[in-house]
Amino acid sequence: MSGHVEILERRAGAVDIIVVKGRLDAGSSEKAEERINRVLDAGGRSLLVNLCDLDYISSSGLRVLLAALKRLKKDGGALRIACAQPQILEVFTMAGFHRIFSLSPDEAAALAGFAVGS
Amino acid sequence: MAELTVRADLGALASIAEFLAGALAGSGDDLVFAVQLAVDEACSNTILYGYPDGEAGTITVTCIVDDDAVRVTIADDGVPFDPLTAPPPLLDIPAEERPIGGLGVHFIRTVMDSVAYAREGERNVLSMEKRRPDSL
Repeated sequence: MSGHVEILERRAGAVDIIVVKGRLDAGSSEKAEERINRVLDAGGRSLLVNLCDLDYISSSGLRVLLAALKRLKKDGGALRIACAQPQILEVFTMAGFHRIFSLSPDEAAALAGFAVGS
Repeated sequence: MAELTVRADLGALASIAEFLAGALAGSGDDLVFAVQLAVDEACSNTILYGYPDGEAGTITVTCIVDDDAVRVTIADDGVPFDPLTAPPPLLDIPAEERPIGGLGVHFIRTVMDSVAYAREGERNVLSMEKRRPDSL
């Protein structure tokens, strides 16, 4: 079941942007994981995850993001998260993930972060 | 008191969140989000691990709101499992070395003021309470 999440993909130069909207819970995280892995399988090494319109994330959603971060770090890539709303940030903080992810207030700032290297 | 019974299926998680949003309407976004997170994590565990033989059972979520607190009870007919026995996660080690397990229960303990587990007959019953901020 994944009807409560919407995932869009875009590119900005060498950066792959994945926009996750709605709910990222145990029922929808597999779909997000598949989409992210497809981008990484295609050679993507700079991944921006836009969470501007994400309403909810659980530990299942964090697991997907952590798996992507681990894979990218191993391959010399980078992952940046843009625009997580306060309640989403609170979940990141509870998990200690605010210390291991690059969190940017908006997509432009995240893109600029790739430009200077991360 | 509000009560919802759903089939123990991952597709039910969004329905449970909607049920809680309705039951807690007017209680403030932060309180609603916290209770939704705790209940979602508990129900996710039950759905993913509570029915190893395949046949999904049912989960009943009960929500009582009064002036002082929100009390939520989650009852399921899965295999006996006390989520509170999970060890706390290691939050300060590098991403590459982090196991992901245990985070859900850590969230439940963090956002709720009290959590208790009981096995009652053939059911697991997880009782959680969160004080309302204006009652502190």
